[in-house]
Amino acid sequence: MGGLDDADRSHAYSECERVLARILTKRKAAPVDTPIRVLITKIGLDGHDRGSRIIAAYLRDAGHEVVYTPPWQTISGVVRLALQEDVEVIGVSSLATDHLIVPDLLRELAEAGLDDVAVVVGGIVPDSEHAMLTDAGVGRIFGPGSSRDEIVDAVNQLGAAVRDRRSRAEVPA
Amino acid sequence: MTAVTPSAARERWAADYAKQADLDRVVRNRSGIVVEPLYTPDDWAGERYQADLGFPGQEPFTRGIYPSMYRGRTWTQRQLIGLGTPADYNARVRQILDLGASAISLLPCNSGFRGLDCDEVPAPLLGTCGTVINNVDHMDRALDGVPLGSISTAMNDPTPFTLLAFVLATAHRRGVAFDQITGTSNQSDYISHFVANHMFYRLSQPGSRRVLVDHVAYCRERVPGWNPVSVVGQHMQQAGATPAETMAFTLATAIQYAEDCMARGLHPDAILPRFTFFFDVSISFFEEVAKFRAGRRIWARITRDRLGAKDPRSWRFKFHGQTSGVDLTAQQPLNNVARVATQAIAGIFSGLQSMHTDAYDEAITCPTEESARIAVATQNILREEAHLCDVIDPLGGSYYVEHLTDQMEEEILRVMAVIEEAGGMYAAVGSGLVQGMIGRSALAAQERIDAGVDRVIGVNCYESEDDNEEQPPPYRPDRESMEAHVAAFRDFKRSRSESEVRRGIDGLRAAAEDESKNVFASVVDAATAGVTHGEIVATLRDELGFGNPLIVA
Repeated sequence: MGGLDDADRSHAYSECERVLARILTKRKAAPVDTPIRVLITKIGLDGHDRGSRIIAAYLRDAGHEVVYTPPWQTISGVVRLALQEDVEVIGVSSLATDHLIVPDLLRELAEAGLDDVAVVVGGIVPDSEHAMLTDAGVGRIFGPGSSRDEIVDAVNQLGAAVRDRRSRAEVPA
Repeated sequence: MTAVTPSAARERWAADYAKQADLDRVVRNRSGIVVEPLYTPDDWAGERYQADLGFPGQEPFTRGIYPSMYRGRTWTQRQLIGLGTPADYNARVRQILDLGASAISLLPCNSGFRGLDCDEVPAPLLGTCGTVINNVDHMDRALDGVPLGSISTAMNDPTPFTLLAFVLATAHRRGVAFDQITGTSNQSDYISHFVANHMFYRLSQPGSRRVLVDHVAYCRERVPGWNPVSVVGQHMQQAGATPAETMAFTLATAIQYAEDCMARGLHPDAILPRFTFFFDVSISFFEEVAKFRAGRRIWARITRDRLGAKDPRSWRFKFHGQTSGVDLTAQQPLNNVARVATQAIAGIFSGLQSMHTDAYDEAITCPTEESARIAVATQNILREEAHLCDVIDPLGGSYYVEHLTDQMEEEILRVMAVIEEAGGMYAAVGSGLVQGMIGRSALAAQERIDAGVDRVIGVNCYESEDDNEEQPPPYRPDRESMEAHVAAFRDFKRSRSESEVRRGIDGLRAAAEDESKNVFASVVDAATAGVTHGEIVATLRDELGFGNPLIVA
């Protein structure tokens, strides 16, 4: 994994920060009452990012705080970013089989104490591989043709549930 | 019967039309051009036939780049294939050749696109979307039984073109002369990778620019039957550019590459006859036909008037068309057979030189054997049963198609002027200008689908309740043979000559540091010496800069 971990990372990060700035300043909707912090990313090897860019724009326009990364993130990089940005939902976009390593992402999130973060996957996931993802803890899988409303509603619900759990965890019983 | 004047007849038609049709409904094509319900000699009368259309094989090539077009020779049937291990690929290629394909292509594994070898990426991702080819042994195995001197091979091979280097090393091994090798470097267009299809992007922008020119110069000298430049409009359109924007960006990119080569002393007529183009053919039927007819006409003028080419071969706009995967749906997947056939007819009426038809399961997985067979059969049916090839440019002279060709040309030239104003394509992508335009068009297209303005059967209309037909299981490489492949690769790295490898890598560094040396020549030497794909890319990334695309969200 040397190439991916070391060579790509620093570049991916600076790129990510630039893109992040653009996304947040371009927000056009009025902020919703409780904007959810969502990370939209692609892990693995594929670079087809039309889907992730459109989803990031949808969620931004719905008033959420979107952290967007370019493709090819490493799993450890995504975990670190999730910690750093304190996100409640992670959306992983996959076109070309990168969903196959999403279970590894969930495992590493749990190891980092982020097992309360909701993870959703969008893109091309063959029916026969849905169970592999849901068994690993993926909250929702959005296939091609999913509507904007469907996606935004799911993120609203999942994000609110995460926030709820977190706030209850903070109050000592 | 009394004589009716054309204007009176037209007025009567307009009145009758208004009684039947909704006049408020404005139809626009994907490029934003308003489409009227009827076209007549008022829209295109044919006085400018010679200047705007001419004859096939003659300037401005609107009607086709060869005098006989499909009467002489039909398009090359070139299916994009890539899966599993080199042995898996070889089995599929032989099957496709037996089915009637006349040329082959090779899509490497996504790990290869990232510039990595198979022993440095997560194992589940190997070979799922392309073939794992990391050294000359892998290429030799993949092309086993494929006569390199007579079958044209197209490689999906971004800078620094390691796959072509492995092909040449294989040819060297088999005693095939380099000047017998024909084919295309399908992914040589680093600008389109920087802008749109990010998965192919590897070296820094200036590094890619230098290696591309070196590659063109090397092929010109050593592999004259090879097309070193394929300008890929497909990526722009797949990422969301409209058909008109796509053609504009593609032509602007081609101008950039030609002028970069000329700045290094290459004569336009020495390079332009080997320039090729690669496009998406969408289901927006007439718009696609007009896009390609307009593109041919513009390119003929640019090469002659701006680039100064004198050889008519330099003026010809040769292109490969791939039916657009963006139009295919995961819902009711068999419907895609109809979509692909429609796109393919648009491609044929556009006068393409080679074609890939997508398999119907494209929106779900890499093609299965059955879906790949239907994709090839679709081309066979259109070519041999449907009489589509009898007449050259059969839509030429249609009032609508000629008018639309003019309108598309105007729109393409408008976008090209924006790029020119920004300092040309290299500069316009460096600033994010092009990325912003594509992003806006992509979002607008999705919003039209979400709003039901653009209808997609099975997605926003005619959804089927029992749409959960059993999906075919996706292609996944056999775990054991992939593990064996990776193990053999590790053995290869342990057993090869260290001094040869060091010599190869030193050669790469020396070439990268010295502008007077040819970097691609050093890639071929390194490949022949047993340096792996990942090692070649890593060395050049170190020397010429790591490539990250500029993504504008």
